[in-house]
Amino acid sequence: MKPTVCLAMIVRDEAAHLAACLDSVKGMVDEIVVVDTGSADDTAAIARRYTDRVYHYRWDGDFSATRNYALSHCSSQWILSLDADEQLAPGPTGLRELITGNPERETFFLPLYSYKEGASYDRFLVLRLFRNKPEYRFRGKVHEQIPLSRPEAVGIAAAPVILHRPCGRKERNRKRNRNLNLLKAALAEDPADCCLKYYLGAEWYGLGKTAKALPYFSEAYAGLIHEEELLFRTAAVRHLTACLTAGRRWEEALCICLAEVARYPAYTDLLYDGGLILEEQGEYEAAARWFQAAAAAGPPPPEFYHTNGTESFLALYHLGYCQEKLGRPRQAGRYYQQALAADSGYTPPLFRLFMLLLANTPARDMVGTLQAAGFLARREWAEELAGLFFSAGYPGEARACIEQAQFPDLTDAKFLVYGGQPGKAPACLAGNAAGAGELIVALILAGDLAGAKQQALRLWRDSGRRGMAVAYLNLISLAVRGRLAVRPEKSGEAAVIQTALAIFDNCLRGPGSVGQEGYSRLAALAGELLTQLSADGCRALAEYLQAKAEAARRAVDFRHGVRRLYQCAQE
Amino acid sequence: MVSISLCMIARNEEKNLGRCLASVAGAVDEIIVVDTGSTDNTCQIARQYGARVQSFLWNDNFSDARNAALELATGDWVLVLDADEELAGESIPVLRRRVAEAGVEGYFMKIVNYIGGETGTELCPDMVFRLFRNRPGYRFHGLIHEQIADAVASNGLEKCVIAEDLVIVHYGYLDKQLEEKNKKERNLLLARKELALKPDDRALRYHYGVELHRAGQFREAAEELTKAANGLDPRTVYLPKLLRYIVISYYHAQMYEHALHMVDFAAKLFPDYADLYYYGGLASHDCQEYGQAYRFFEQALATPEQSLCYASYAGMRGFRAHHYLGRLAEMFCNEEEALGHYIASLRDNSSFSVALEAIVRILRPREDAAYARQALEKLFDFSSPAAGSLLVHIFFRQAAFPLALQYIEQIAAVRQLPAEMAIWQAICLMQQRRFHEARRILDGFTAEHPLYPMVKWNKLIYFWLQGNRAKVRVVGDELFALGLSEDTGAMVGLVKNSLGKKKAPPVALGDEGVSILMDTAMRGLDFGVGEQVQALFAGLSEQCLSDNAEKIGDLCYRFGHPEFAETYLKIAARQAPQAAAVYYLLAEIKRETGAHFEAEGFYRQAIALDPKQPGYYIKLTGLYETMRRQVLEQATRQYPEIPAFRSLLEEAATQP
Repeated sequence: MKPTVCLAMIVRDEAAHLAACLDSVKGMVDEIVVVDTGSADDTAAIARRYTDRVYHYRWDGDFSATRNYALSHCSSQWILSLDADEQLAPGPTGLRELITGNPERETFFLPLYSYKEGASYDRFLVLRLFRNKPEYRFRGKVHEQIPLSRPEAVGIAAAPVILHRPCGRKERNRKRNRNLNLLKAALAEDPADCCLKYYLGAEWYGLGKTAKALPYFSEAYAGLIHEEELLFRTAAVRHLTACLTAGRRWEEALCICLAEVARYPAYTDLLYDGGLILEEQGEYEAAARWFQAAAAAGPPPPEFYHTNGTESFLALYHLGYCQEKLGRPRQAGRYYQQALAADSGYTPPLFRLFMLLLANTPARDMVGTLQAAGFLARREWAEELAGLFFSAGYPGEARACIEQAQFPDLTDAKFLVYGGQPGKAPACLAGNAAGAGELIVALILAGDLAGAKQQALRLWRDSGRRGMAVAYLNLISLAVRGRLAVRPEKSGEAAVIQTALAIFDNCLRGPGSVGQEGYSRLAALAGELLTQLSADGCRALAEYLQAKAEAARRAVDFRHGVRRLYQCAQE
Repeated sequence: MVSISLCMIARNEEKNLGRCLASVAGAVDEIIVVDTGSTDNTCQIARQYGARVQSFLWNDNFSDARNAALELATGDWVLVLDADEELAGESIPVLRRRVAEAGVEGYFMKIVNYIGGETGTELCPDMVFRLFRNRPGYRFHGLIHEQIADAVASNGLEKCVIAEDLVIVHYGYLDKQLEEKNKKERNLLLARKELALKPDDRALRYHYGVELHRAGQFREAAEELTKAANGLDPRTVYLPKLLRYIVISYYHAQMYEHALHMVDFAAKLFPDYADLYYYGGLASHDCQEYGQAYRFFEQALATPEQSLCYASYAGMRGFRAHHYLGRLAEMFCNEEEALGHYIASLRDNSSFSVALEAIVRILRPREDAAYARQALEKLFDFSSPAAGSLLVHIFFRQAAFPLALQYIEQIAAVRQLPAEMAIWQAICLMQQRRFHEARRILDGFTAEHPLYPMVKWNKLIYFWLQGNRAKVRVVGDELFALGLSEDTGAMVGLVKNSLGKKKAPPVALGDEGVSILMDTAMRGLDFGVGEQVQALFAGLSEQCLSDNAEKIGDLCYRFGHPEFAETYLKIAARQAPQAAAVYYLLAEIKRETGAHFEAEGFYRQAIALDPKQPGYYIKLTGLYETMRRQVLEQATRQYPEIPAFRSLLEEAATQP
């Protein structure tokens, strides 16, 4: 007989996430129980679309009590516990297969992937699936846990996976502050509880207060010594070294890494962390050895707190970075390529590869090189590279990138307008109201000032974009009559400056070859507009030029690194 | 007392032998000369010095001959010299002291080679194993690079000691090098044959590698030398030189990454070896890693006095390193630092004219002759005719005619000018409109003089500069009558037509013609007849003009005609859209004429085409700062009530 599963949740103000969570378990559970602790938003209504078992509970600061209240309404044989900001990922094994395939188990740890910004995530195990039995009820006011009395009945599953997406900073901080207070109270009651200490550290860490977090992690690390506490111990170790590193206490951090690696040779993440510590100190040769070891070690066992990629693309990326710092660009390039091959969604290596190429290869040869190396075959890479070309000052190459990659829908009108083909821009921009500015620039560059003026006047009618319109009208007027046509109101001036500066900036990316002097003329006009407009305009332009000078200086630095030599050589 | 036998082999050395044997008088107790077939007075001279002379039938084997001499030696120690060497006088007492030391089996001695390089005579010290105990087991082996050090060292490497105070002076190094160069094919063959017999002999493989290197087979040399170095005892005395040879071989094979890798490796073993850093610098420079190159040359300079076993080349931690540092500093737009290095270079080796030429160039002798002269004379003494003549050459090449003339006159005051320099004097005079004096010199040459065509040509230019169409035609025809090469003839036609009114058919010049054209144009621009010079260029065929447009543009730019320069450089840019240097020049012109936005675009284009040139970025940085200053100036005028602009402007002005 098929086992029955009930999803039990407690929620408050989770309208933004709840539907995605409930959708993710569709067909995998037989029963859904949602306990609302006082939402002010649509949470309860959304829940009711999925189940009629929605209950209200007056929040009393006790997570366990609330969760156990939810459990009391479950009638299935098994309980699945999720938070609203989590989702169950469809995997090769569903919940029921997991249960029937392991008849001797009564509780299961499931892997939870907690996503960070970027493609990487932390993996750790959470006990979220258990028999609906009176002995399996939550304990603890905060970071409530199910007590496990029979180790032989505990299973560790590789799938299904729980996904945790990062929420907004504000929301997260609100939750963290609430949790901090609850945890402090709980710790006061049970001062020896190392798990609580770990959780307290984690909340401070999440708030970015590593100095506050450090003593908690330190105590948790010292206290969590039993093998069955591995889950917490590994998490505590990694957070502890992270806090030490943040406090520039590199030696201590490295010592801990060394000691723990000796104890758990399979713990890849520590090899990676050690590499990071050395890298930050500029010990690139030594760091590279640690990253090498991490890349060779493979992923750690499931009960180790693990950051995805430390065994592959992250380690490879940093290996490349160290090689670059050691003056071995070719080796660096190879590692970056390996990192990209390991995870195409993790793009920092692509950026470094691009910069390496840019410093060594004439820009116009780069598109061919990238094409030949297969970097334009992937849509996300082609898009990323086109953007990099544009920001590096090569809009023509950005355009070529998209053309070669054959994802024509990725073409940005900016690539055409500033890449030496303004004539092609109007067709590309047809019906695109957001590209009105680019269209006007294209017309100015093509010498069609009357057409440009017509477009600018149309833009004027859109009160939200009047600042832009003023900028364009003045540019045209400067080109025709050599003076400004219209002064913006003080409140609209910022938008004019922003627009003029953007045109100035983009013209300074335009092709500098003979016969393409139109960009220089337009840049001169935009500069003239800014200086004539106002003191703020002058200031913005002067600041911009200062940044450009510094960027050019950095380019020599990046390439040759003998700043002393040319710093005193400025005219 | 411990006794010493001098053992030599010689053939037809009557010119040298006396000097050699005289130098060891009182230093050795016995002289043995093995003669391998002299037909001159070698044997007699040897006997005069009390030598025991033995004839030996030459069998193409140096080791056999040398061992024959060893067989006859009766002293406790053996000193080996060649006839073109001598023992330095101050080494005689040292020699006695050294052989009395216990526990030593042999000595590496210092050998000072007098060579005539491109920069005059240089001392090139090296070390050689020439003094060892007379034991039956110590015998030479090897067909050409006969050696004995390894046999002695087999009793313990530490028993072979380097004695820098034992000095051999070697004459005729260059002759010997030349001789060996002529024999390089034969040597290579012999070395290969011998190596086939003894494939495990590292020293032999080392010599084979060196022979390959000399024969210009660099990649093979590097491979053989690497094999010889693999697993070699790190105390082996020739290891540093061997590693340097590997570096140089890779460098010449243009395998820069390998060369640099070897530099890294060798520098770990011998961190104070200047030559390694110098060649590391060269390799980095050639692969456009200019910052790295700079650091390498600085490291070379920072090394201490070189140990004898490094056999360091001349200038590695002196004039040569300084010269490259100067060039690199110029690439980073730092003329002051460059000048410092060039001066240091020349101070280290006063005959290193490359450095002098660079110093003169930086002093811009065309712009302020008096200052340039004053600065140069403060730095160096140019009063000797040789030094003055060197300066004349340099000034003349850089079209600094007034200064060239001053030094020519200085030389003329003490001695008769060579004919070519007299013509230069005439050229300098006419460039300064001193026509009569110039004419007098040119007219002093008769038609029989070998330089007469050159004189005639300068007469043509003499009239061309003055715009004398009729005379140009006459002299031109006379030149034709002398019989000219096709190219020179075309050039004469071009000069004639540049003053004419009617349009002549376009002219295509070859390399020779172009070089004469550039020289003529330079003189015209210096003289101030820009229009005539443009007429010269206008007479070129379209193809010829666009092929040489970069050169012409550069010339016009350097001689103060940015407007002409721009025209030609734009032609060049269309002809070769990948030429970064053309865009750089265009940017320089635009910057100097205040067209900042165009300059900006051109600098960026230059960077896009050649991203490794530091100067492009540095100039662009400077341009952005200039543009920023202008914005601040305008803001200060427009908004005098806002003090922030003025203070920013003042701050910007104090920045270097």
